[in-house]
Amino acid sequence: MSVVLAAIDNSAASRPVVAMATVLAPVLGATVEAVHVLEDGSETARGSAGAFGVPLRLVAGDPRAELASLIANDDVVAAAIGCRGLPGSHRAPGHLALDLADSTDKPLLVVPPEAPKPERLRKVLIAMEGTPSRPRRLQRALQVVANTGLGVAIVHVDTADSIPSFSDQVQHETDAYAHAFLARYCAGIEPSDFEVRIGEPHDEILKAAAAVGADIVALGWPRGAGPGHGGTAREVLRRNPLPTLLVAVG
Amino acid sequence: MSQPAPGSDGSLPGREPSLDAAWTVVREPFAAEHEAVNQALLALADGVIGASGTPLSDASGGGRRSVRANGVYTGAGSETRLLTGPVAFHAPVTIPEDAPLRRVLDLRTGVLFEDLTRGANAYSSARFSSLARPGTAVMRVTGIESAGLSALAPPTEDDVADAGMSGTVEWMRVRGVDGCIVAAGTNRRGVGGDGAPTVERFVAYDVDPSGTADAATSVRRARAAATLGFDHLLNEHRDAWARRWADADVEIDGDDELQLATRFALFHLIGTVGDSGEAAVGARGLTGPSYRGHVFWDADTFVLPFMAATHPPAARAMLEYRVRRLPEALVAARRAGRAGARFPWESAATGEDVTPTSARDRAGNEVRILTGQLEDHIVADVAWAASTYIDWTGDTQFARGPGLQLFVESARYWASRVRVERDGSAHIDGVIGPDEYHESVDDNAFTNVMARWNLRRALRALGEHGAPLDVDPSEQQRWRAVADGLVDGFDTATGIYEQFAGFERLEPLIIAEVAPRRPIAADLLLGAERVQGAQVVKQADVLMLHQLVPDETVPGSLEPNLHFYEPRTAHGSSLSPAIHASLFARTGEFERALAVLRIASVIDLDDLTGSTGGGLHIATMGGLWQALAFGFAGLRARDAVLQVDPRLPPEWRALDVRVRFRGSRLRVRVEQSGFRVDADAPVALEAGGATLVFGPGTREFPHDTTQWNTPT
Repeated sequence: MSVVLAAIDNSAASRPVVAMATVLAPVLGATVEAVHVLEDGSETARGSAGAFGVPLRLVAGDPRAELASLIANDDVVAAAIGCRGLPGSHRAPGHLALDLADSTDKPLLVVPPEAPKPERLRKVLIAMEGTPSRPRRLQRALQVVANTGLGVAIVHVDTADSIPSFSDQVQHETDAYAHAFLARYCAGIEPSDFEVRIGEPHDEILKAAAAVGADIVALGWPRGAGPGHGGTAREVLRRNPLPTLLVAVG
Repeated sequence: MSQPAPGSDGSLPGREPSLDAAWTVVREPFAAEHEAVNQALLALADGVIGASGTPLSDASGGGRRSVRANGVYTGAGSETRLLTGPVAFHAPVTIPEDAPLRRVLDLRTGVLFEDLTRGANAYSSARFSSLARPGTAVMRVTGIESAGLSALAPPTEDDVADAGMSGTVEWMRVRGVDGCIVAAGTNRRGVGGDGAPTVERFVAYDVDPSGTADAATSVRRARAAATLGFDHLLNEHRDAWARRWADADVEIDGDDELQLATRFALFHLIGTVGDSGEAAVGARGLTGPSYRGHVFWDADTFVLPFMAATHPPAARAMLEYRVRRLPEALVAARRAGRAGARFPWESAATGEDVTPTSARDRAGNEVRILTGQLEDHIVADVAWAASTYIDWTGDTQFARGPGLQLFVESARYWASRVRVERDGSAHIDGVIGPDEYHESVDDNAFTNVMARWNLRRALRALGEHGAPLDVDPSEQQRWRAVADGLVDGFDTATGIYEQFAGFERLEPLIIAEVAPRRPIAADLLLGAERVQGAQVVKQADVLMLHQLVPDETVPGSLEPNLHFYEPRTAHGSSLSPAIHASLFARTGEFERALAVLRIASVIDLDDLTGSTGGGLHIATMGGLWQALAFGFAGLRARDAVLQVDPRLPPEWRALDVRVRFRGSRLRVRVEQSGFRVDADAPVALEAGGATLVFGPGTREFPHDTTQWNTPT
């Protein structure tokens, strides 16, 4: 049986992590198991798992190593983990979430404490920053959600460096670009929305998520690329009120 | 006169892929992410139908095979788009990702070869849309079983209205709001030389832009094609292409990449425009869905000149498209409170304006679209196209008939569009010029000068052919007064035309200095509001006058205006680089000319717009030809005389351009030592400072006896 692993701590953030894992699991054909690495008690974690009827495994040891090991199990198809200790905080996401994203090629759902729990997942926004010459992040994310039955929205954000050379007739150019982009990078996918934007990628991604009514935002994560990379993903994680699905690339 | 030699490399053109790099576009292996672009690049069109160059099986994704027909639309208003028809070029083959799929488009013969070279599913194929009998698609596939193989596949975007069988011929019909496409096809099984099974397919398309095409006609044509057989059809198709190349080829000795790109452009131009009835030339031709097949000014001013100079019946068909929509243009003018004819900025089936009124831009902003209301220069552009056709062909029947009508009604529009001051000065308020970054401007120099030219051209036509009864002398007198009174913003002190009233007071933002690169869509870089308030130009605007109507500009004004406006031009329109290449060639600034010429030449081949997957930029291709023929070769039709005044970059050994001018087929070969003109019939030529009539025969213009290659 496939499993979505909900990695929870003993904080207020643990409950939305389990909640989101329970709505993610059905679209992946999986069940949910929660895991808590014992550090400073487990009552809150027990309560969060119990609230959703999810079995909780307690383990001891180094959180990163233990969680990475569990996520590596063959039956685990995705993992969920919290970020930011308290609702409203815009602190950077914890090292643990990013460390796990670096250590696995499985999708990692990073859940902020204020994330609303939808009845079910309906729509995922897949974000692609920068130039179309770097499509792998987008395509990997598409592969993950392609067979889930989720509605797919796509946002492509150009920055000042990737402003198009030409824009002939505004009234047709966006459609023309969208047509070519989708044919090139999203063959076989018929997104419900395709948003093209120009600006700061993390800003535009979050605006697009709100505009299309996404339940989660999916982003490519440049696995192992080092601290100077993944800036957009880090900013989205810091500010996104919705869960962010990191999909490893590289 | 020599013609391109088919099969000069020893191959059998049309039967196996050519190896001549100057004539072939090769795409291999298969990669889904490149397929959208490839299917546009490899599209086949015969003026009636256009088929995407999608692999015979499109199951691997990336592309969507499609067929579109010239002028057959569906939908209403701004949503009007080209209808898609049944697909002939398909087969039940398997193409895995990264498969060794090799496609070779032979530009010389108009044949697309597709081979899967290894593995259990290997096959080879050749296909073409017949230029000899437009609307006929022919294919041979070796290596597939034909049992149960249907000749037609349904379109991907539209529903099949009805279908059936007539003996061994299947037919399928697709109906749109306005017209329909019907196709009939049959397969013939055989065995190849190596014993491999072979299928030959013959599909006949009949299209009707405003009614219901008859399936029986298509069935009969398909049956006739099958009777003639693949080899016969291939031979006549190849001959048809050879004839077109003999009249249209451009050879560039000294730049192989540009050579191939040029032939690629000419190939698609030739395939896009039909030469009978009417030809609606949409922005992407028949090569893709983008721009919905809508017809813009670029058909009249960028594409038509190539047709007028190489295949006049195609230019005539393009004009017929406008002529048949003159009644709607008359109504549109009346609705706007004007006289004469007001052609729409975007046109499709009916001639009503189908320009959207709002859209989302690439930044995600909802923007109002004003081009349909304000880009009035389209009226003069249509008249200019008619004049260009007359200049190149001398078609007096057209000039006396529909041409005269176009001149008169467009002149009437301008005469009613102007505001005349007490001092007699005439002004045109509230327009958009080719530089669409600046909306609702007054006295746009391009619009005003084109209007002035239009009025004078109409007066000249009336003088030549006699005024129709409803054009009385007082009306002509008013046209003359308006033309003379139209302000053009020219400053005698600087030699610069002000692009529109107040342009010089805008923020002097030099895009060449502030942009990270050019071309660039400056409205997206800086925001629409900022460019509206700055001297940032989208594309040639004032300079377009020097390209289209140089006689209406002040002598010697090209160079100062080119040097003033080009640094202010973002080239954010795909139309811009080619025009600047043409003008830099005229001023002898070859380095700059070649830089923008090369950009224009690869806009689709290198997908510089990111949108080639939606179809090719047909007008840019026309602009490329203009840069070579008008800019570098210096060809210019002036009434019954063809001027030849070449400029040859030092990097090129020779430039060889073939055209037709008033019944004579000409080959103009420019070399560093001089230039030579071959003519197969008498022609009036102005070259080397003299006017002469000669032909059939050859005239040499040695470098040391002429003023050629000297910038003016």
